[in-house]
Amino acid sequence: MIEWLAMGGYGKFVWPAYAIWLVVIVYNYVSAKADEKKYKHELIKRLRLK
Amino acid sequence: MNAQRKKRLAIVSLIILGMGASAGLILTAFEKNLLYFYSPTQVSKGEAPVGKPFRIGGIVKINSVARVSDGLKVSFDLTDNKQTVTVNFEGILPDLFREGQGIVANGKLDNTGIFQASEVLAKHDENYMPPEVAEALANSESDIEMPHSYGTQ
Amino acid sequence: MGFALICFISGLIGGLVLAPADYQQGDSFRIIYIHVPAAWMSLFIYTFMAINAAILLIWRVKISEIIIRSSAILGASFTFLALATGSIWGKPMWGTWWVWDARLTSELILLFLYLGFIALQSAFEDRRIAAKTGAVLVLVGVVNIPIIKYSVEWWSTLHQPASISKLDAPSIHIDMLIPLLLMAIACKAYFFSVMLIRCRREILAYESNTAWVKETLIRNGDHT
Repeated sequence: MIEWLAMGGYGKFVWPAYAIWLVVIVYNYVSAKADEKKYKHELIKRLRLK
Repeated sequence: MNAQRKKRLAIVSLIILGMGASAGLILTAFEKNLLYFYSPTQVSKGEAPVGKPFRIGGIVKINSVARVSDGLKVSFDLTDNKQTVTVNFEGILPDLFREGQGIVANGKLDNTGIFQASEVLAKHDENYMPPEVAEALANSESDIEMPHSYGTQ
Repeated sequence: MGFALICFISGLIGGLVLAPADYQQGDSFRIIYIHVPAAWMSLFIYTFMAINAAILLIWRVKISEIIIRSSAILGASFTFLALATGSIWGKPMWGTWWVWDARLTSELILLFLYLGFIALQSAFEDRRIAAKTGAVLVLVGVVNIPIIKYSVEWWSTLHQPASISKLDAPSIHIDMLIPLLLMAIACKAYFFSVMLIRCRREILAYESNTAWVKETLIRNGDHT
């Protein structure tokens, strides 16, 4: 396991690359979802007020 | 398709064609500047800039790497299988640097025709395989094949 | 999204655990599994946007406007990922984070094209004018796509040529190739599902005054 994490000495390059990738991929999905939800709530509020 | 749409189609095609043509012209005009490095053949033909720093790319010749004195200074022959240029370098080499490996060196040619490099970068090829496969391949063909990307352009 | 997730997980396990280390680059080559799919997506999304930009400009199809608007941020993200992971890979292998060779420079220009499109969208009050202006920018920039793709063949670059240019004989061992293809499929599925979420939101914005939006929202809104 430790050997795997070390990536043959390249762990300090491989893992940060994967970390950046994961952050961007997750962020894009979560923000799209949150954006849609937020906008829906806004619309509902606006429509109810009328 | 009505006339309006035909007109718009024509405009869109014109944009793409126009951009393509101008990009083509610009890229041809700046061809020299787009070359990241010169091959040893180009250098020996005198195509590389003289007195100015430029980059040279090729394969490190087998059995040519000599470490001078304190170990940071290194000298090796760079080849494209046609011409060879000797390169001197002092500094840290990338992990991939080894004999038979493609590299790109940045520096100047001195009066004696030796390339004094200030930077050496490794250029790896597009082949990926496990070590066992590479070993089996190496046993079946002893010659180092020159990747096409090092040939003169 | 479920399909994308399955492909991502199997691709990552395949790439990080099962695939053998490279004979030259050791384990550092494993960055390929995020770098190459991201670079492919950066080209694919731009081409996809350019086709929709042409449809928008010629036929005035509104859904195309929504599609390009929803794709741009994803395209920019994948381009950024290709550049960032490539840079991290370049440091140990090439010996440098960055070089101004034709491949890297043209990919950086692609990032600026995406960012320019996104900036244009917020620069105009009128969304329709913003989308049309953006579509023209996307079409003008499409010339960069073949330049990126063929830069490694047309000019001498530090970046190596493509490993998978021909499907019959890729220059990458089969055990290393399968996780790569899985990751590529995963990225594509991911792109389409996130883009659709963004499209849904955009459609709501466009149609917020229509009866069907009001009805469905109020009906569903009561449950949430």
